[in-house]
Amino acid sequence: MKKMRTFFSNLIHRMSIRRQLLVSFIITALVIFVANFVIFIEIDRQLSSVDDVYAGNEQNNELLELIEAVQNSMTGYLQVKSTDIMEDYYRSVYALSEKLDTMETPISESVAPAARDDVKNMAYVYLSRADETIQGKRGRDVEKYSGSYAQATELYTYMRDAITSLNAEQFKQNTREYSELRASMKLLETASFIILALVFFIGVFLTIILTDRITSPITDLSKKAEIISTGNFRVEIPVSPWNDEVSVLSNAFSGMLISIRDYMEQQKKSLETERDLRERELTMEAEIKEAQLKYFQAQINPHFLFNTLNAGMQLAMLESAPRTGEFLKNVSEFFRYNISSDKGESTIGEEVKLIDYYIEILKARFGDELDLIKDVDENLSNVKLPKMIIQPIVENCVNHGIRGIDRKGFIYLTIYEQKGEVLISIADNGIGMEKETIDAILNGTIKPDENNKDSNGVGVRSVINRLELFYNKKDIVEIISNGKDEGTEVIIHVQNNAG
Amino acid sequence: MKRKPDRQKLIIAIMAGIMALFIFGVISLFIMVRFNNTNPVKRDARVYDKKYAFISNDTDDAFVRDVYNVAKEKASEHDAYLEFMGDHLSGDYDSHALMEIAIASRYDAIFVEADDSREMTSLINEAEAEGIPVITYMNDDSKSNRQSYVGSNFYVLGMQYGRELRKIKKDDTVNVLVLVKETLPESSKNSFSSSLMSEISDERTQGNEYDIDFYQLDTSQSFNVEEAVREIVLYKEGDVDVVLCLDEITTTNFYRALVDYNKVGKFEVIGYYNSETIVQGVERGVLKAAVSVDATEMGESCINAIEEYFESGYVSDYFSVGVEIIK
Repeated sequence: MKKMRTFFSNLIHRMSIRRQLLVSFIITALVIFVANFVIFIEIDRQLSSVDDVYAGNEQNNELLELIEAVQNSMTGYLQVKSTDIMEDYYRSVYALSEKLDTMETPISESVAPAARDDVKNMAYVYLSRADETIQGKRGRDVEKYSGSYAQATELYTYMRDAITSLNAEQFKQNTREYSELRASMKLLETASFIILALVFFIGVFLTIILTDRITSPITDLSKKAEIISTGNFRVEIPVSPWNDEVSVLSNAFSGMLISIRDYMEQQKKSLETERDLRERELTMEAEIKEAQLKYFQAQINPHFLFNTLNAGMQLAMLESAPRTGEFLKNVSEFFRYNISSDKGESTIGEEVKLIDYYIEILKARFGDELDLIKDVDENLSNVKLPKMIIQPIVENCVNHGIRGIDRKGFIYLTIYEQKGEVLISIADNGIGMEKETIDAILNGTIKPDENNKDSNGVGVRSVINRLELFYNKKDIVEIISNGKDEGTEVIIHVQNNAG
Repeated sequence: MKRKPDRQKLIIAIMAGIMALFIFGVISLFIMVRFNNTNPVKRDARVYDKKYAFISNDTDDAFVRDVYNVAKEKASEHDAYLEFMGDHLSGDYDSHALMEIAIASRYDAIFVEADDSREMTSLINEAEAEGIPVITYMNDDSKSNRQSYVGSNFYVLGMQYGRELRKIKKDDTVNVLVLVKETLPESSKNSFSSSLMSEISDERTQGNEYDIDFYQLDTSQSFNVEEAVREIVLYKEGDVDVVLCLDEITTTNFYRALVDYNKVGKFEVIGYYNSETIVQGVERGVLKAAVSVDATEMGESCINAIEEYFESGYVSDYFSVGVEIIK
C-alpha cells in the first residue's frame, strides 16, 4: 500500500501540468463512460426482459391464428367442398405442423411452457381429428366426419381457451412484472443519478485540486516577486518536487534570485576593495605630504638652500678646498633627492645612493667614528619602493644606536633576495634596544621625538606606515636586537617588483 | 510545491479514497440493481421430466387443494410436475372435459376424482388405451380400467359417522339427513349407507330410532350447494335433527348458514375434514364433530401409487387413507 502510494505520488510529481490535466480529463471521461456503459447495459437488460414478456404473447397469438386457420379451412371445406379451400386447409395444416415441430415446450412449473405443451399435444391430436374429418368428407362418410369434426371442434375450443387463458394469465403476470420492472427501473434511475452525481463531484474536486495545484505556486511566486521588488533579496524560494511547467518557472526564478544575490555580493566586495585601495592611496599621499611638509617647515626655502649649497660648492672649488666642495656636493645631492616630487616612489638603487650621501655628510661631522659597510645585490637596484625608507632608519641607527658609544660605530646595509622577497637589512653595533621599545615602535605606540635636531623629521613609524600602505600588508618591518650593546637590526621585507 | 507536503499527501490520500469509494459505490450499486431485480421472466423455472394431471369436480374444496399440494410436492421429488387441471383455463370445465383435455394433452398420468357416470368410465378407459395410467382418488370408478384407487373407504367413513351418530339420542325418532354430492358414485353411497346402518343397528335394538335420508346436492352450478344448504337450514328445522356432511364445502356452508341465520343448536352437524374453519366450528360447538380423511396421506399415496406403477408396471388396486374424528 505504501509502495503504491509512493508510486502514485512519484507519478504525479513527474507529470507536467499539461499531462496532469490530460490524465484527469481522461480519468473523468473514462469514469463517465464506464458509468454510462453500465447504466446502458442495465437498461438494455431491462428492455430485453420487456421484450421477453411480449414475445410470449406474440407466440401464443401466432399459434392461435394457425389453429384458427386450420379450423376455418376445415369448417369451410365441410361447408363448401372446393379445391381452393382444400389447398387452404393443407397450407394451414403445414404451417401449423411446422410451428408445432419447432415449438420447445419443456415441462415446467411456470404456466406458459406447461400450457403451451398442453396446446402442442392437443394440436397434434386435433390435426389427426381434422385429417380424419377431411378424409371422411372426401369419402362422403357423413357419420365419420361428423364425429371427427365434433371432436376436432371440441379440441379447438379447448386449445383456444387454453391460449386465451394463457394470454390472460401472462397479461396478469406481465402486469406484475411490469410493476417490478418499473421498480427496478426506478432503482436504476436512482443508481444512475447517484453515479453521475458522484462523477460530477469527483470531477469538480479534481478540477479544484488541479487549479489549486497550478495557481497556488504561481500566486506564491508572485508574492515572492512582490517582496523582491521592494528590494528584499533575502526571500527563500523552496525547490519544487514537481516536474511541471510552474515548477520549472519557479526553479528558474529561484536560480535567478540566487545569481542576483551572488552578483550583488561580488559588487559589494569589489566596492569595498576599491574603497580600501583608495583610502590607502590617500593615506600614503598624506604621509608623503606630511614628510614634505617637515622640510618646508625647516623655514628655509629648499631651492634657496640647494642653490646656496651649490654656490658654496663652487666657492670651495675656487678656493681649492676639495673636501669642503665634496661635502657641500653631498649635502646638495641629499637635499635634491629629498625635494624631488616623483609621487613618493623610488628604487633601491636611488635609496642606497641617498644613504651614501648621507653617510658622507655624517662622516664630515663625526669623522672616523662612523662607517658604512654595504653589501647590496646590484640586481635589485631597480626594485621599487616608497621614497625615503632606508635613510630614516639609518638616521635612527646613528642617532639612537651609535651616538655616544665609545667604540667605532658601524652601519651595515645589506640588500639581498630570499625566497622571492627582497630583504633590506640595516644594522648597527650600537646600544641595542629593549624588547618593549621594539614592540612600541612596531605597534606605533611610541611618539617620535619632534625636537630632535639631528633628525630630518621622518620617523620610523612613518616609514612603517608607508611601507604597509604601499604593499598593503602588515609585518613588513622587523626589528631585532639581542639586548644592551648588542646593536640593532631592522629588516624590511619588500616584494621584488623589478620584473 | 514542497511547501505543503502534508497537504499534498492528504490530497492524494483523499483522491485515492474517493476513487476507491466511487469504484465501491458503482460496484455495489450495480450488484444492488442486479440482485434486486426479481424479474420473473428471467427467473429459472424448474423443468421436469413428466407431467401429471390432477382433476377434481370441485376446485374450491380445501380438502382437495390440500391433497393436491401434498401430491404436487411429492411428485416433484420424482421429477414430475402435477398440474391442477382447469386452474389456468378461463372456461369452467367439468371433470369430463378436463379428462379429455388431459388425454389430448398427453399427460403422463391422471389423478381423477371419479364419479358414477359412464362417460367418466369411458374417459378413464380412453386414457388407459392411450397409455396414460389413471389413479382415482376420493371417489372410485371400479368399473373402469383405472390403475388404482386412493381414498378412504366409504364403508369406514360410514362407520365413523355412525359412531358419532350413536351418541345423539332422542326420545322419538332421530331424523338424519345425509348430504351427498350427486357425483358421488352409487357404490360409495351404498357402502357408506350400509356401514352407517350397521353402526346404529345396536342403538335401534335398544329402542332408539333413526330415520336416515340422503339428499343429493346438485354440483353442476357453482352456487347450488350454498342454496341447498340455505334451504335446509331455513326450512327443515324440526324436520331434520342431524345433518351429515360428506365433503368440505358442504360442511363449511352449513357452519356458515347456522351462524348467519342464527340457527346454532337447531341442527346437530357432523361435518367432514379438518380445515381451519371447520375445526373452529367444532371448537365453538356449532358443529358436533367432523370426520377427517388425512389429506397428506392421500396426496402422498396418489404419487406413491403412480410411481409404483411406473416402476413395476403393477400397482395395488386400493390405497387406504386413514380417517379421524375431530370433536
